[in-house]
Amino acid sequence: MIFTEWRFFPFFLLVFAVHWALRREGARRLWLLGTSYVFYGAWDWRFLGLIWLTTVMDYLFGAQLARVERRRVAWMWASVVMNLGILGAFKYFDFFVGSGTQVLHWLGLDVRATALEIVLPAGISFYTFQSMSYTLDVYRRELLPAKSLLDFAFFVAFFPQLVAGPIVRAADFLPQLAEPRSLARIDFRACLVLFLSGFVKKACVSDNLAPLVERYFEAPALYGSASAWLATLSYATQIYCDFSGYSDMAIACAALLGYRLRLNFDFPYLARSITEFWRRWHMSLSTWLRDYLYIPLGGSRGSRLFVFRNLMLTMLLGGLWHGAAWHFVVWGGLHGLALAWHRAWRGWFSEASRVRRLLAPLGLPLTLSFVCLGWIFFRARTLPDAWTATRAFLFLGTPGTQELDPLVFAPLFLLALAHVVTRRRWLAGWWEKLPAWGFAVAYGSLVGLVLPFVSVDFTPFIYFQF
Amino acid sequence: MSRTGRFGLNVAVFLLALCAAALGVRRALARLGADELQEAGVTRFKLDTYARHAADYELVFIGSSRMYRQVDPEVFDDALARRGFSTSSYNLGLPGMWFYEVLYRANRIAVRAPAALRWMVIELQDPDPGDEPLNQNSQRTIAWHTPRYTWIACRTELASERSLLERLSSAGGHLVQGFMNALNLGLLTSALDRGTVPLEFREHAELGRTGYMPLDLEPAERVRRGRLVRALLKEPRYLERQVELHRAAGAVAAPSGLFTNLARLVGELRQHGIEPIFVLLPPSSRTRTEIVAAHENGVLPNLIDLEDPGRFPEFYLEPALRFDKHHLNQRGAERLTRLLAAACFPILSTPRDRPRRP
Repeated sequence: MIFTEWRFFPFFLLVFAVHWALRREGARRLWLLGTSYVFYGAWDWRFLGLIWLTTVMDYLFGAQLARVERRRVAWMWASVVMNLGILGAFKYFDFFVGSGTQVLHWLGLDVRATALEIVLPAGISFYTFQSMSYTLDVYRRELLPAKSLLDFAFFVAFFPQLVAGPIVRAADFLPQLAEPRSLARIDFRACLVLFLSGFVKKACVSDNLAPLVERYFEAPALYGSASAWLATLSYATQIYCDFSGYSDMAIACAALLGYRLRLNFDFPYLARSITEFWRRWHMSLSTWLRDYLYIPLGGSRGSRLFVFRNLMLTMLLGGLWHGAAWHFVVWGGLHGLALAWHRAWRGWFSEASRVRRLLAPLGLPLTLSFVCLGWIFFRARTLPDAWTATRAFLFLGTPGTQELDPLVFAPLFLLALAHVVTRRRWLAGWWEKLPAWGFAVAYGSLVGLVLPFVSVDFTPFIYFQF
Repeated sequence: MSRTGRFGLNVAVFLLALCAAALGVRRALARLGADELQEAGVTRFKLDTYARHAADYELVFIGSSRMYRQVDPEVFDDALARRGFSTSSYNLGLPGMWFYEVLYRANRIAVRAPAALRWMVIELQDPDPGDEPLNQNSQRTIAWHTPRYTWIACRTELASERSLLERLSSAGGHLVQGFMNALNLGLLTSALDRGTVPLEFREHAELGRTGYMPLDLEPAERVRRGRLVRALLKEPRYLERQVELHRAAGAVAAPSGLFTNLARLVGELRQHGIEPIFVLLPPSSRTRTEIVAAHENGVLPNLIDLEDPGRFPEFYLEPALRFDKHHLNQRGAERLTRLLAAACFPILSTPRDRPRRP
């Protein structure tokens, strides 16, 4: 089930109504846990067992880490190995076996390996990271273990964030379970507006751009440079609207049920440097990678080369987290290089230096162009396709003669304008000034105006596959 | 007023505003030709092509992929020309166009077609497509679920002889689609992506003029070649077994709504000066026996029955003429089209049957 499917709306209405009708917090939690499993099971109930396994094992590891003083490192590693083992088996096994076999073929060894060809369980990367962060925090003594298996299972499976994030930290979520919850505290209007904005991003923008992007990336060699730019900008818009739209809807649904989820996107395409981009893009993942990978690797302490190594490793693994394919690794590597380069640049020129002040206006267009270039590797089916599209994008020669409809630049321009308007908060809080009936009229009319643009053809969220 | 009462009132105001906005949008878009705007892919390409050259065509074929993939207008016109009858036809068959959509599209074409259109060859089907995909939740399915056709579909489904649960589920599915249609869901998404020629017509542009595309020439990856070969390798008597199944299924009762709806369609078409010719195509329809009986009783005019494995065994048992379980290949299509033309000739060439458009 996804948030933009029609069956989600009766599902959520039922969940919401029963949740608030129940008086006791324990019963509410049990209800939400059950409905979260239904939400996940609607996609494929067979993989529920995997969530249960992760949940029970990490709960036990957490309890053990809180109880013992000796061999804590071993228990922590046991949790990490189990989580990464499950992720590796379901997501990366075929990739590593395939790549290994290919390398052996190049070396002249004829090795035959069997691929598992397992369907990737939806959201496995999200809930694995989420669950793993719990045992790591308990190990670091930054978090007390969950009071009960029910609480921990609820934290792992809470349906708004279960399949595509944001990656919730136990330290943010578990303390909320102890807070009092009441319907009167819910800011309905803000939640409804946030949900609608996420819905528009996903169903009206992202899904409508998907066919055009698909057309280009299924055969980039057919097209010229203008189409490469159009398709890449369209994909940049598609992936942002898809993922940030999902996050908006998840945050709104959670808030309607009385829970807070952290912001996941903060206008990333308005970033003036690649470092700033990663502070604004998929913030729950970038902070996860920072806290559980980059800093344990040594972070920014040490020689310049050591820091570059840490950055590259973090981003390469971050790329691999997105998908079991080399083009994701290349994408991660490109961002690692850019982050390293930006770090070096900041070392060469201080903030007050003339060079930095002079080049400051170029920050946004250069960052955006680089991010778009990276998206080519992220979206392309194969590395040769990515290279073809990159050459066209950089005007280094275009094999194709066909072009996509340039009229698509117009809605992209309007969307960029809307992005800036929202960033400057020119329309912020309009819903607070209206009387209740006025808000109902405005919201109903907005929904009525939006529906003709909703793409009916089912397009799963891009981040589902991660 | 209590808090719950206020909440209920606000929900009611929201729903009213939503309905008003949906109605307003529908009216505004109607002026721009909203019904055409929502067509996409093959449907849009074929309807656009037909609309551009509608004055050239006297006869159109309407039906599912069995019509789309198995009836070649060029062969049809040629076969009739050899008999001394000149006509020009276009194939408006669409993949997955089942019974209710056929009713909807036949009516729309009749209302909008120019005076040149005299005959409509309509594939007869069972309203329940059985094991074939329902093509649900597509923009095309939402498009035909106008209030009138949603009502027809719900009523016919509820009156069928299936179990109560199946009837309710099927009627409920139509209601949801009707609801989506009323809210203009996705009405403009196709308009945002206009100008796309479907892959099969892009690669075989010359075939676009007739609207016919045999499955052998379909370049889309989704068309799985060799499925029939695999089935035959697995079970050499595969085709014979299909015929046995077909014969057994022939006894299934037709829903009471089938003939009522068809009779209404005949009336509507004749009102617009178009004579319907109903055709049973191989290998299809589970309600064949009753359809033939209805024709013999005068309920259905102009019935051409080509789906009898006893009379036309080659379409059922000859692997060289088949593409898959449901369709003939190009060779089979040519043979079937010539047969259809021969069967249509007496109807088309009888002067008294040649209708006049008002």
